[in-house]
Order: sequence, then C-alpha cells, then structure tokens
Amino acid sequence: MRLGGIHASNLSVRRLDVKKLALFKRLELASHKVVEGLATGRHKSPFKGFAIEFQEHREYTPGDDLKHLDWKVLAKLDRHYIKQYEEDTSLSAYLVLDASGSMGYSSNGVSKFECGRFIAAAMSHLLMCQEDAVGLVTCTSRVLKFLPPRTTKTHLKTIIDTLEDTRPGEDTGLAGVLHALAGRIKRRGMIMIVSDLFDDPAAIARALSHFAHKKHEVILFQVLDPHETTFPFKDMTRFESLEGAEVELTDPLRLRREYLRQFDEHQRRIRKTCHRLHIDYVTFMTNEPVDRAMARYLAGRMKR
Amino acid sequence: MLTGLLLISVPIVIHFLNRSRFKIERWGAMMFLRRAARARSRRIRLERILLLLLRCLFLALFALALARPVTNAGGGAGNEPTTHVVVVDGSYSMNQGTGRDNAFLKAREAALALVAGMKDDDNMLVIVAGNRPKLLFPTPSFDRKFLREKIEALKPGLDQTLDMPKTIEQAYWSLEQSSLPRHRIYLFTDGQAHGWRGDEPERWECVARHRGLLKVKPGTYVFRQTPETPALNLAVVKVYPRAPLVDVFRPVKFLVEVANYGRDSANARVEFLVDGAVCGRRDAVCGPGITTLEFDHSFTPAAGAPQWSEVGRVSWRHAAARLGDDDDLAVDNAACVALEVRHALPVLVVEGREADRSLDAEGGLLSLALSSANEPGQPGLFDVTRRSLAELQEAGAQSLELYKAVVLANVPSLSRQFQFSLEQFVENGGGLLVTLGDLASADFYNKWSGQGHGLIPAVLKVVRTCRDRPYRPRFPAGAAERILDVFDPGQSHVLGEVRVEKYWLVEPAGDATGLGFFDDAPFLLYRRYGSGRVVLWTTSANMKWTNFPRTQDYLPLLQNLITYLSVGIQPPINLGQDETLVYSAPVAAVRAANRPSARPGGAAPALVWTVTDPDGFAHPIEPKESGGRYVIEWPETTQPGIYTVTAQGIPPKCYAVSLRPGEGDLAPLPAEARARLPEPMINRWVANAAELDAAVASEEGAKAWWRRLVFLALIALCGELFLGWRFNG
Repeated sequence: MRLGGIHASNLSVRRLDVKKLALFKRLELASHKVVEGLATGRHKSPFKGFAIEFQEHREYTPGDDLKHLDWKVLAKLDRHYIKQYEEDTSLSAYLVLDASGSMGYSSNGVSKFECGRFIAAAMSHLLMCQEDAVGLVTCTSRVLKFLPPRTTKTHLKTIIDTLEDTRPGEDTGLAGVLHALAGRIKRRGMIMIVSDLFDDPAAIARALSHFAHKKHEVILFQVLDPHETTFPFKDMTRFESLEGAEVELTDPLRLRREYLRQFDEHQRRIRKTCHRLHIDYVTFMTNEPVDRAMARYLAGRMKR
Repeated sequence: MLTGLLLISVPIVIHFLNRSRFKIERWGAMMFLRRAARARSRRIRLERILLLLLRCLFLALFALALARPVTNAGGGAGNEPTTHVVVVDGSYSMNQGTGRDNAFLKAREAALALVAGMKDDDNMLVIVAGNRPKLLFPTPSFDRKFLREKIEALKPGLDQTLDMPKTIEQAYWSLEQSSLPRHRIYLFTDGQAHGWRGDEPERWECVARHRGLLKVKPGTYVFRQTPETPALNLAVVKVYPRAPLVDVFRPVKFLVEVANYGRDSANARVEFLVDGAVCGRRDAVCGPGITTLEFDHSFTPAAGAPQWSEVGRVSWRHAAARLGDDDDLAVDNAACVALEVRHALPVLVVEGREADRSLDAEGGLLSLALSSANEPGQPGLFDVTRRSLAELQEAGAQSLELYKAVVLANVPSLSRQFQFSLEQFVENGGGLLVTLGDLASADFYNKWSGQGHGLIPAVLKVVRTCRDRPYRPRFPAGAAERILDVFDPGQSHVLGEVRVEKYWLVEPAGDATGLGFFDDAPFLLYRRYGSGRVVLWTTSANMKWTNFPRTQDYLPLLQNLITYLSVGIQPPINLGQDETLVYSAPVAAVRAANRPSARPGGAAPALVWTVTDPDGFAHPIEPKESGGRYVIEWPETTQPGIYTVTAQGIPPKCYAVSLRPGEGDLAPLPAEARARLPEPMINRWVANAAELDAAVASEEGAKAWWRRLVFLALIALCGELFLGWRFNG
C-alpha cells in the first residue's frame, strides 16, 4: 500500500526517507508566535543578545531579507550575496504523540498510530534541521515517555528510538495529559499534538486553553481512519473496544446516521475550539499520502 | 393451506439467526458508537420489531390468501362471482310427457335460461344425474357458447335411474375445486320420490357431513319439471321362470310382474316373447301395485341347433314380456330374462350296498325315482348312472367330470383319493347328495366334516329309533323355497304321510343350514362348498328306516333336490344395470372346438370373442386365461336388454340386464319426505325463474377474502420495503 509518495512499508521511522524529508527542508516551520530563544530572523524573539556565528554566503534570491545582504561583497564584486549564520537553537518544540488504544485502529493496513508516529518523526527531523530543540511526549491516559527538548544530533535518534519502541494501548486520557504538560512546560514554545482526539471535546478544549494561556503555540494533528469518518459497515457487527472490554452488538446500518452525527459534532467542536484559540488544526487520513498532507500544511503555513 | 401460517415463523427464525451471526470489529471510536447506540437503541429495537411484524404480517396474509378463506356474507350478497352446478336428471323417468311437455326438454330449456343469465365472472358445470352421475366436462366453464352447446346436445336418458344423494355428493366434489366465492346447485328433476332415496337416511347423513366440510356452502335449488297432465305409468318389472331349472322336458311356468304406479286400475296387454318371438299375449286389468301374470312355455331342442355342454347339454335362451306403448313412460314397458335350458342332467348314483335285487339297495331306488321323470323309452332330464363304490374307486378322479350331480347312497366310507375327487367336483360347481343309512360310518363322515370346513355339513352322533311314535319331516316356511317349491312356498309344511322310524342324529357344522327337521333334529342339511352345493339326508333313501319312498312327496322332492344341486353356483346371467358381465369357458373345451383340423384352412385363429349389446353393436374382446378357463368381462351394462356373448365354436350365450326397479314410479316426493331431508341441503323447491331469483336473494352467501388478503399482503410488503429503506438510511 502506498501513502502517496511514501510507501506504507516505509512508515517505519527508523527508515525515514531523508530525500523525501528534504522536500520539507525549505518549508520551514516558522512560528507565528513570539517564542523564546528563536534565532534572529527566523522566529521573532522577545529576548535580545543571542549569539550568531557566520557560516557561509549564498546568492540572493528574491524574498530574502535585505538586512542579511553582504554589502561589502556587493561593493567589491557587484554581486548580491546573503550572509548565512549558524544559529543557536532557541525554539523549544514538544511533540505529543497519543499512544492510546484507539490509535491502533486500522482499516487499510496502516494504523493511525503508525501514521501519527511518522508525522512525529518527520516533524522532529524537520525541526532538528532548523536547529530547533525538539522534545517528545508519548502518552495514553498518562505520560509514558517525556524527552525534554534538545538540539543535538543524537537526540533525534533518541526520539526515533522512542517512537519505534512505543505501542498503542490503554485508555485515552489526552485532556488530562495535556493539562499536566501545560503545567510542566515552563518555557514558551511550540506544542504539536498528534492524536485522534477521541476524548471529551470540552476537556480537550480546556487543556488547549491551558496551553494558550501559557502562550504556547499549539498545532493539532488529528489522525483519522476513513472507516471512522464514514462508518461503512452493513452487517450485524460486534464492535469490541481497542481500549478495554467494552463491546457493542448492533446493526451498523441503523446506527450509521447517528454515529456520523455524533462524530461530526465532535469534529465541529474541536474545530471551533482550535479556531477560538488560534490553533493550527490539521487532519490526516490514513488512506492519504502523509507527505503530501504535510507539505500542503507547511506550504500553507509558510504563506501566512 | 392454513399450515402456511407456519411461514410466520420464518422471519422470526431469521431474526434470531441474524442476531447469532455477526462480524467482529476491533474498534477505536467507541465513544461515538456508544453515544449513537444510547441515543438510537430504543428506536432501533422498535424499528426492528416493526419490520419483523410487517414481514410476519406479509407472510401470514399471503398464506391466508392461498387458503382462499371465505366468510358468511349474510343474506342477499349476490354480486360475488358464482359457480353454478346444473344437475339435469338423466333418469328414464324424465322421458314422461310428450312434445314440449316432455320433462327432460323442459329441464334443458330451464338450464339454457340459466346459462343466458350468467354473469361474466360466473362459471358453470353440468352434471347428468343417473345411477352414476356424469360430468359433461371436468371443470367449470366460463364460456357460455360452449355451455349452451353442451346442454343443447343432452338427450333424455333411457336407462338411468336417479340417485340424488350420489349426484349431490358429486356436485360437492366438483365444487370443492372451484375458487369462486359463491356456489349454487340447481337440480332439474321430475322430483319423483324414488330418486331421492328418502328411505336411506344414512346416505343423506353422509351427504350432510360432506356439506359440512365444504368451505363455501352451496345454495341448492330444485326445479321440478313435470308434464302438465298427470302421468300414467305401467311397467313390466320382472319376468322369471318359477322353477329353478329350465329344461326341455317339462313345461316351464313364467311369471310376469306388471306394476301399476298410478292410483287407478288400468288395462294392459302383455305380450310374452321367447327368443324374440311372441309366444303369448294376455289382456289384464292391473290394479295399483303389482299384478302377476303367468305364461307357460315348453322348450324343445331345436333340430340341428348346436348344444354346448361343459357337463351335460345346455342351450341359452331368453324370454321377455312387454306392454303396449300407450302409457306415459315407455322405457320400462319391457323386461327380459336369460335362461339356461338344460337338455340333460347327468347324475351319478354311488351305491353303498351290494344287493341282489336292485330295489333293495338305496341307490337302486334313487335311480328309479329320478328316472321316473322320463317318458318310457325316451331320453329324459335325468341321465342316471349307477355305480358301485368299488367300481368308482378303481376308475379314479376324472370320471366325475361327466356329471352334474353325485349321490352317495348309504356309502360307509370312501378312499382318500375319491374323497379328494369329490371335493374338487363340488368346489367346481357340482352337486352332492349324501343319504345316510345303516352302513354309514360316523367316524368317516365326522372326519370328512372337518369341524365345519369339510364337505359334509354335519357331525353324526347316533342313530335315533322310535317305532311307537315315528318322526314326521317338517319344512319350516322360507327355509329353502327354491328347493322345496313342490310344497306351498312360504308356508310351513309337514309331510303327514311320512313315517320315519330311524335317523341319524346330527349336529350342523360350520355354516350348514337346516332345510327340514324331525322335531328339533335336522332332516335335510345344506351348505355351499366352493361353487357347488351339498345336501345331507339324515335317514335312509329307501324304505329300510322310513316309508318316505312310498309317499307322493318323495319323487318331486328328490327330483327338485337333484335339480337344485345340479345347477351349481355360477356367475349370474341375469344382471342389474352396471353389473359386470362375466363369461368363461374351459380352456380345453374351447381349444377342442377350435382345433385347426376341425376348421377349413388349418391354422388356429386368434381367439376373439364378441359381446353384442341390446342395440346390436358387437364389441370384440380377447379372452384372458385364468384358472384353466378363458374369461371375458364386460362392465358396460348400463343399457337394459339382452347381451349376447359369441365365442368361436361355442353357441352364443345370453345375458339379460334389467332396469333397476322403482324409477318407473312417478309419484313425487311427498312434502313430509321433503321435510325430512337435511335442512341446509336443499334451500328451496322452485317452480320458475322468478321464484329462483327470490330464493337467491335471501341466500346465505359467502364472501371471498383472498383478493383482499393479497392486496393487504402487498401493502405489508411495500411498507416493509419502504420502512426498511428508511430505517437503513
């Protein structure tokens, strides 16, 4: 099975296709919020005096900020070069990956968790390339693993190893975990949540509000399976919960309309919350190419 | 059909089967499913029950529709499609009346009027009533033209007698096949009492029970079709010879019974015919009821006429009596009888006692008594052969086939082989007279009686003697009139001159019947054995124990007895209508008569016999071989008259078929007899169409529900499909 440009079999984060990810390299993940410790020119920082070190020149391309133009080179050679600097990482990004049982659902061979794991890995890689500090939180109804943000090259490996070792299971309690995280992360930064968000939308809204209150920039990646959005079952079916012993024997044809109504209502409330809190809200379907969806999002984000 | 209601269980079973057969899905988004189920479960259950009910309702309605239920629609609901069963009385009494006043023609016209009045969705069946009701066509027809043609082609019956219970039952059988909601039976009949069988209530009870089983109870209307003028009918109901055996040596007295069914005396001219030739004519005044006339006739062997004999010589003749055709019903003015005319009766007398003088032995006296019927020096009826026991036992079994009767005269005992030959002889139709005496061995005869299953009809006890007050034979009335008609039939008779000093006290065995008695002990005992007859004479046949041979009753009694025994029990030659005619002849005799050398051309012809019916039509039949005889059967004997069977090399044999008596009695069913008929069976006796309309208007009718049920079933089906579609989104 293919997920657009990336094969489903290649969703293993240990074998991340660097060439593919290089596509995202120019789609920088620019923060629209004022975050602490961001490199000059990339992220607006409220703090001054961050050290920057010259790295190389490159030719000017339209759109580049003129303040980085090397006037001396222009005077001597009559050519336009931009000075590039190796910046100190000053953006702290947290990737929160939901590893609850519901993320293990798969109708087409690729589970939501696998998809989410890929997204997390790709974002980590991207941010690390931007020399931002990336941390990872895996959670169910509790925090399973907390890796604080680092910028070192070995940290990316640690993140990827952690992602590899994580398996979906247990109950969802995302709202509680987010609340706890909001209290725990002192420094403002970027919070990227990868989840199906199958939890009480009011509780999720409260947790997201908590992040907003702490001035974090939150990006919500919702991963869904097509069966969850269409509920295409016809025959009498016994639905067994992936998160516990709960079962429901029902005629899905009769239930479909109500199910979709409930689902749409949930989505609407999530969307409304994100809109209210100015949170980026991106939906990934497991039957869609992940890379394209990510590229589309990042491109859109760049335009803003 | 109502078992189709079990179909209701099908959707219920499917429902529960579906609940036990489901897929399993490991599911993540349980929160939405749970909420949806919580919100919809009650409604889903209701929807499911509603759909289940609709499915059950559909199947129930469909099954009910297939059962074609009807309900009582109350009086006057006359617009439902109707099956009309027209029953036209085809009995010969419907021939009464002439021209347009003929009862049958009037019935036919009335039936045609009914056809004209049929509605488009009505259908009709026509039955011709008789002793066997006949459907003109197997299923009811909607085609009026076809019905008109069928009814117009009906001809009045000449031979049928009405059997109304059977006819109504046939109509019920036919109506059971009809799917229309309303049924009516119209009986077009002269209404004579005879055909209604009012004296057979058990048959009407059967009909009533049958009616009770009908889903649609038919209205039954009787149109009485009679001539304007009251009918007078005389009929010859029976012709028969008075003696049981007709021979060429003695004059035969024929009795002709003429019935006058009217209330007044009528003059009748009766002609008596033998073999189709008028032999006597007599005018008589016949009062109401039966008048019996006598005709004498002597049969003589026609010169050169072939005489066939299996044993002895016989020719088959027929006699008839007829009235002039001046009464209202001519069909029953003649009757006939077939006769087996004997030219000789070979009798074997087996002598038990060797005596110097012939008359000292019982057999000698018996032979003399039988031969006394013959004219001196001339051959007579009884061709008596007298043999001693020793001679016969040497001769073997075959010799008995030459005789029609055997007399064992004071025979002490017999060899086992001769016993067996005698048993075979009697079983095949021969007659046996056993006279006892001082030589008879009780042990032998008792063993031969076989506890009621053997040939001898009694168990011998002791010899009773009474010289002081001799016994007198007594013949009770009705014991054996055909045998003892030398006496006054129908009355008890005591032979006053006869003195019996000794006799064997016997006890009847098996189905033996006493014909004559000494006080309480049997004198003559009779029994049937196979096709033959056996009589045991318990005293001596000569004058040793009794003076009977000296009395005037001895000769006629003995001759009658031998005659009766000689006739044997054969398939009857005088039949009722619809009785099967059976003719048989020994294979050996037929082959001998058809030997190739005996015929020009040499080769043996194919064996084909013919039955010629009273109209003169010959029907060839190939005989079948069975039990050493060639046999043919002819069941088509509805038409009364003489049927003649002709077989190669054998003289033709006559069979007479007589009308069933009673149909000629045109007296209508009286009102009190009508009232005794089961009430719901006959709704109304009507005289014309106006009365019929009035009767129909008050008829308890039926309402058919199957169309409505099919419609409702379709609505239920559509509802189920629509709601299923709606509920499933």
